[in-house]
Amino acid sequence: MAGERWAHAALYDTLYPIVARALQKILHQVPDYEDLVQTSFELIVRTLQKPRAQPIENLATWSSAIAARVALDALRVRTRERRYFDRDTEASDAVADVSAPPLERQLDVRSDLAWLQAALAAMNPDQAQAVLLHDVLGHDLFEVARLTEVSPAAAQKRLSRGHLELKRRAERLAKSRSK
Amino acid sequence: MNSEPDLQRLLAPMAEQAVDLDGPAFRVDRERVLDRMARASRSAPSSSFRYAMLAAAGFVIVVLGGALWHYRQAATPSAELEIEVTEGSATELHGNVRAQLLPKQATRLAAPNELETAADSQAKVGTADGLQIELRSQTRVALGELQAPHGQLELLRGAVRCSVPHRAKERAFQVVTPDVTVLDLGTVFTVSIDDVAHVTRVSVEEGEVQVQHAAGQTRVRAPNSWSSAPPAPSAESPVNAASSASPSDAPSSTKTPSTAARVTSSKASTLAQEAQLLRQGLAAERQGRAAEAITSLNQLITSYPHSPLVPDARAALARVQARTSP
Repeated sequence: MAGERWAHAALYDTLYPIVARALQKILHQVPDYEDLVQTSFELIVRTLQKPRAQPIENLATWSSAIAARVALDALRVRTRERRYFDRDTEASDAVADVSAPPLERQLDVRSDLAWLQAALAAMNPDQAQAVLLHDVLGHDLFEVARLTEVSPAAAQKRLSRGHLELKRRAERLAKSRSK
Repeated sequence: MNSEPDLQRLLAPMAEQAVDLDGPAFRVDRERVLDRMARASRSAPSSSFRYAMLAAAGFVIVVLGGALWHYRQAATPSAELEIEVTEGSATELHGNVRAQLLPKQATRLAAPNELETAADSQAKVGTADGLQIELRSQTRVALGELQAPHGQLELLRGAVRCSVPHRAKERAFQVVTPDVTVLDLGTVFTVSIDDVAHVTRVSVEEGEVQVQHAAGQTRVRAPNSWSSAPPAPSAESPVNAASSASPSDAPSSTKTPSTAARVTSSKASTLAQEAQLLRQGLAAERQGRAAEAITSLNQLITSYPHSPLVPDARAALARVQARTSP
């Protein structure tokens, strides 16, 4: 047991910067950051214990992909909860918001991040993951293919479709504001 | 019209985010993580147990899948939409292909991509489960996901009035505009886009809707309305402008508590001007109009040096200047 603890500690110390980088870039500051770190490491341990057809070539990039998936799942859950959970809550507080929308926040540059997070959460998860791994975390196309266990051609297709989807959503936003 | 949005710029909020391993906002209890790793390690099932679990899970999936298929067959309305041009003319769009719809005649179509009404025209779209959408003059909507389980309409231009029958929670109808999502909570409401002011307005006639916007979400109950516009700078012009831009049968925006609160706040009037400048600057930045962005942001910084929006304006200005410098 002590040996296992030592191994987990070594794994954590080695991979924490990788996991933190993925979570922070995608989510920025979130209240459940520590929980997401725990979830990432739990997944890392569980997945390492599973028999694999191919060995893990690069533990760091592989962990980065796991953390990206955890972050993407968190974004999607948050979007779903906003959509459904709030409908069941008492409306009085929210209705009061109508009289005083927090304008500063509305126009804050952080809305760019909120828009991007919402767009990625709404996209096809495989395409969103390809975009995150390639464009946000800086993995090349072959790494993206290996990490997502598809061929490079399939990874390329997911990536270009993800790009198209993001552009389509941004153009729709720009169109209404520029006409 | 616009240059293609720059992917790098779209992804910049994430790609350029600095990583903080030791900051207080990202503090992690290492021992708790190690405990969880240990629990995960101990609870990893043996391979024979895993196969048994897989077999059981497969059985459950098959049974639930069958039940879900039956439920969806019963609950999902017909894939066809009934479209009626009640006044003037309307066009169905499939990419570059345009097909004129016959006026005063109900047409059944299987999921058309987009629908557009001409000036002084109106059209109705109905689904088999009773959802009714009225398209006002010069309105364009995307209907591709209207028949999806959640029933989504994209409002690209103009105004729509929606009358929504009660639906299961997981199939709630929503109207998506470029800056907000209006989630129906069983109601009659109108959503319009003001192309000139770049704002979305929502007027609720019956029931309640939830508006999801950049700053969060807001519930709007009948007979109120909501707008994504910044607060009015004076008690006169913007309120009147909002009223005149609203659809004719929408509740008057003067009924809205938010509007009343906005016009009585003198502080809000300054903030509105500051916000408008920041909004213009950010919009110009997003669309690649650097000179316009610099002008708006500089104006905000010099005219309102004590504004709470100045730090954001400075950050945006620095970004724009960094991109434009050779």
